Amino acid sequence: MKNKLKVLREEHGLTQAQLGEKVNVSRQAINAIENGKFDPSIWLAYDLAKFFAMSIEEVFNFEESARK
Amino acid sequence: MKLLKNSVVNAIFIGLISAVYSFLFIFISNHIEFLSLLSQSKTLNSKFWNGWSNFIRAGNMKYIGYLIISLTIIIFLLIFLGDRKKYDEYQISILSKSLVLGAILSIIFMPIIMVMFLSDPNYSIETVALLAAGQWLSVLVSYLLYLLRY
Repeated sequence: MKNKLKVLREEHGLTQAQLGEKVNVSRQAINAIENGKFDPSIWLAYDLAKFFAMSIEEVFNFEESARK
Repeated sequence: MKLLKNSVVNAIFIGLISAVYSFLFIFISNHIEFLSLLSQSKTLNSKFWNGWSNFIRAGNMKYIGYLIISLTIIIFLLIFLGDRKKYDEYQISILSKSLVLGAILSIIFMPIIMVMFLSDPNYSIETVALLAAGQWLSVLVSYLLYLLRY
């Protein structure tokens, strides 16, 4: 799923590992989400959006992503 | 799938299946009754099957058992000495896909083995031994690579 995770993470000066620690997932999980290889669960999407103080729709682009 | 989340559950499952396979392979390696079930040498003009049959007849299955034990110990060390206690959802999704692939292969193996037993039972024991050893060694190597990568 297309998302702004990489941009937001870099704006906050975090590495993938550091962001992973904030939301209790591995660096590989963050990397896979950023590259659109893995769609996070609704709870992980919520945790990520909450961390950046945004809504899920603002972080993840549902409109431009293919429905699976 | 929730069970997959816990690395200790993974370790227990791998340990149990490895214990069964390694015991079987070590126990049958020099067991006369088992060896008598093998096809007579050169039943078919196949270098591969004759070679594999001779490998089993020479009592070498125990080395596959030792290999399974060694790989399992390495997996245990990586799980228990590492700091991983629970896998995250991305890691579980990869484990799930591996599990589904293994299940599909097992489902395919069954009719193949049935057809083999009913049509041409030559080298049946050798084939089952090869499939069992190949499948579990593949699982162990895949899990080891998974632990090293993720």
